[in-house]
Amino acid sequence: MSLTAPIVDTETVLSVENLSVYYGNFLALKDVNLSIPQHYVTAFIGSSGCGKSTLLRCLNRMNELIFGSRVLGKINYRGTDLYAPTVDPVDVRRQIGMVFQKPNPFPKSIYENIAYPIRINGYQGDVEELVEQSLRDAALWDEVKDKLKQNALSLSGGQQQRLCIARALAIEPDLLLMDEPCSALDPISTARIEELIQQLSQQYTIVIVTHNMQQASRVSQMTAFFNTTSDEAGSGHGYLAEYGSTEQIFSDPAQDVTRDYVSGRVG
Amino acid sequence: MTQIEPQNLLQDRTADSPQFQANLPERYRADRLFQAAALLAVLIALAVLVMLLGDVLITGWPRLFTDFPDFLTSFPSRRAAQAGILSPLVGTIWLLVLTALFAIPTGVGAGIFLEEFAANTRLAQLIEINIGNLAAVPSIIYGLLALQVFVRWMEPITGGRSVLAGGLTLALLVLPIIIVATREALRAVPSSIRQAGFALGTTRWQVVRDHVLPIALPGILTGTILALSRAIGETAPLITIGALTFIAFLPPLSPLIEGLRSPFTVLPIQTYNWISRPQPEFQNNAAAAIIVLITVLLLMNATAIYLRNRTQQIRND
Ligand SMILES: Nc1ncnc2c1ncn2[C@@H]1O[C@H](COP(=O)(O)OP(=O)(O)OP(=O)(O)O)[C@@H](O)[C@H]1O
Ligand SMILES: [Mg+2]
Repeated sequence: MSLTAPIVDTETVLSVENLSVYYGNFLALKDVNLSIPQHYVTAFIGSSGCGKSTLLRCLNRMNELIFGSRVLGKINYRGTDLYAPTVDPVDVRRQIGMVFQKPNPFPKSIYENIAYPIRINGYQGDVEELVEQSLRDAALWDEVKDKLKQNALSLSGGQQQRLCIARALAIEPDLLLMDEPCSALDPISTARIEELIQQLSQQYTIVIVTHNMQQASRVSQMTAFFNTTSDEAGSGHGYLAEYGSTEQIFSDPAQDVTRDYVSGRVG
Repeated sequence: MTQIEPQNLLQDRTADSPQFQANLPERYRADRLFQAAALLAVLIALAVLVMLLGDVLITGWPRLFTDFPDFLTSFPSRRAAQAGILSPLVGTIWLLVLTALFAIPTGVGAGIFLEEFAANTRLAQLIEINIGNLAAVPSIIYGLLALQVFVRWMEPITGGRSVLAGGLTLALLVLPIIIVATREALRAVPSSIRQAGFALGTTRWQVVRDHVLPIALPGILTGTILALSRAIGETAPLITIGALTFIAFLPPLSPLIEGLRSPFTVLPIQTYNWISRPQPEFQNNAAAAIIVLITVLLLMNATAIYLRNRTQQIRND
């Protein structure tokens, strides 16, 4: 299996080497190698259950919160081994933020949702100002500026998701991981968030998991396609089938499975 | 119940699929049968409760309100008409406070540790099973344990059959209930909240303190107060450790240690004592004491509901 080596001329934020992930005895993901370039949006695509979320969670060590999960291999984050015993996972997650598939605001006020991570991470500047800035960055400020004291759960699903993005942005992460951030949203909210991702990519490095091919081709510059092997027992494992520039993956994929998947002929 | 006239909406379509026999009338009959059975169960429970309460109220009310509040402010006496419940009432309050003081921090702390911090090891599972078992141990067994440990071994500290020993005993008794209630309340907090916290570079304790506990608090409070209501109704373990039945003084509040080490009695024991006497006047006293005990219990449960609603309201603001 030959992977198209991504031609990347920017700095690499994160590189994954021979990563395999087990849940108990179940091999979920095998031998993944890829690197995430700085200031790019990288999309993870592939059918359900092939390990996209699993890989994403490994990138900020959220996976180790799952009982029974085991990570083999190496992840290099700007020259440090992410899984070295000296590395504190709390610090990792502070640098590498995450937005989840389902919006999960804290059941507190809108303001408090953003101010909390700012305070907890010891911000020395003006908290109120940074809250406003983060909400502006997430294109939510105008909608919530008059009701900052309201409970975040009173927002619509799309607003809640943008609040979660604002919350992740508030602590200025180096890398932002997004796991199907639009899967619970209507087309208009989705469009807003896509627009937002494009704006954010000027400043941030973003990895996004998506089931939406158009979305991947619209927002990302790099695309990784994951697939599942199917052995006789029927318990296949996920692997990285192809990784390259989004343009190449969508217009001229090296593998047939990739071509079938991106053109909608799966199976 | 409105009788629904079965009407076949999709006559043609259902006729086409003989595999499906919807049989709505039959299913509605089962519905009604079940509803009636459930209603009957509720009525039986209510009837029993009303009869019990009614009996107690009729017997106890006059005694409680003759020369009110004499009954509450007099010590027990050999003469029924002068006997009151001052010392058992105060004893119950002492025990309640002490039990809360011992059991809440330990129980809630243990629950938080087991649910949020302990790794899911074999040892943790063993502990979990045993706590579940402890919650079901008959209370007299706790009394036997407490008699040996708190009354005999720890006599230099507790002073023997004292308020302190009683508080420790009841704390032991409700500890597993509080642990289980705390864990249930914590488990009900969606894991997405924890993930949100962790993904922001928050430590485990910060996640628990700032996000999980506030959400779980109403549940923990309710469980705790219900556990305490159970404690104040307990008689057997206190009789086992030797709570007296006739006390004509109150534990002094200062010095506190002396109060903690004084003998005591509680409402259920006093009631039991009066009930077992032949004179009808004492039966009236017993009923009046029961009214007071039930009132205390109702107040506690009302507090539990109030606290739960209030914390929920704060969260929804
Ligand atoms: N917590 C877990 N415990 C056990 N197995 C898990 C767990 N999470 C995921 N898996 C397994 O690992 C494999 C990959 O799951 P993962 O959630 O990473 O897939 P995915 O590519 O994100 O799928 P989807 O597109 O449906 O979100 C699946 O077979 C899944 O059953
Ligand atoms: Mg997923």
